[in-house]
Amino acid sequence: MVFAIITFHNTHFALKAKRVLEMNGNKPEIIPVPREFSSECGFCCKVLWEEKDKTEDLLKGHCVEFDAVHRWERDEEMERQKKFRFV
Amino acid sequence: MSIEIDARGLPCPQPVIKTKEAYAKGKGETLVIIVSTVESRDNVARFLKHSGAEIERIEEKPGEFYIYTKEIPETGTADIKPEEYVCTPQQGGTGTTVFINKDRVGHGSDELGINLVRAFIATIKDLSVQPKAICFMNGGVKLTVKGSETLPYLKELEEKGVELLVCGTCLGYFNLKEQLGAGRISNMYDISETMLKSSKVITI
Repeated sequence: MVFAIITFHNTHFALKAKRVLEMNGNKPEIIPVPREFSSECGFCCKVLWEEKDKTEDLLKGHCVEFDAVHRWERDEEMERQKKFRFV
Repeated sequence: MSIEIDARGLPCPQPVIKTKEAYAKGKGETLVIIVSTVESRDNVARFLKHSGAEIERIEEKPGEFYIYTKEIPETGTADIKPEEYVCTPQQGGTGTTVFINKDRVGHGSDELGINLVRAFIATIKDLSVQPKAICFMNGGVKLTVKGSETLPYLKELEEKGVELLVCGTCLGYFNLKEQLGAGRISNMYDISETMLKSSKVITI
């Protein structure tokens, strides 16, 4: 699946983004910024890539400043099957 | 030739003492030390490093660790003090248990704390190392019920074999018993025993 990872300048904007998106009927995921991207804030917003434009518009419309939007391809099923060990 | 030291089930610092004895006799030979806890593995590895021996590899099997050394150097010294290799009080336990006793991380901002606990659970599910169990008590049980944003992550952890123990008394207190979405309803006996049998307990 392809996701849009939206990063922010600080945590306040990340949390505000979540509130704004939820108020507008979206279900954004606030997750730690994936290691391959860097950001000043540790949280990012993960939405489906198809929802990228709509999400950006909503954030801009509510004065939620964001840092960047990254394309993130991720095979969720493969992640689930990934090897791990108990510690 | 390889010298095998079976130190399974021995309390610390016995595995180190046995390794030291074999080390003194085994110059020029390789050692295989078998231990059963993470602490013993780490202590023996630390001793070997201090003594100048090189570890070839460490194999992990369920409940056992096989430490293979390269040839013991003629110049190495096994002059150590066993008291430096005493394990922590959790000796004998295995695995890590995470104890979540509220539905947020820390104090300061509830909104931040709620998102931090979600992010924590979302992150550990993706790591290459997993805890053996997560115990939920008091407000922490709210993370395990239907409608909780952490529920999909917890289900994934459960599928991977992480045991999720949810305090039944706490679910009852919040009137959430019917809403449980992941893990199994547990009690103080199970939860205490799981924590005491772990080599490490991390409280969130």
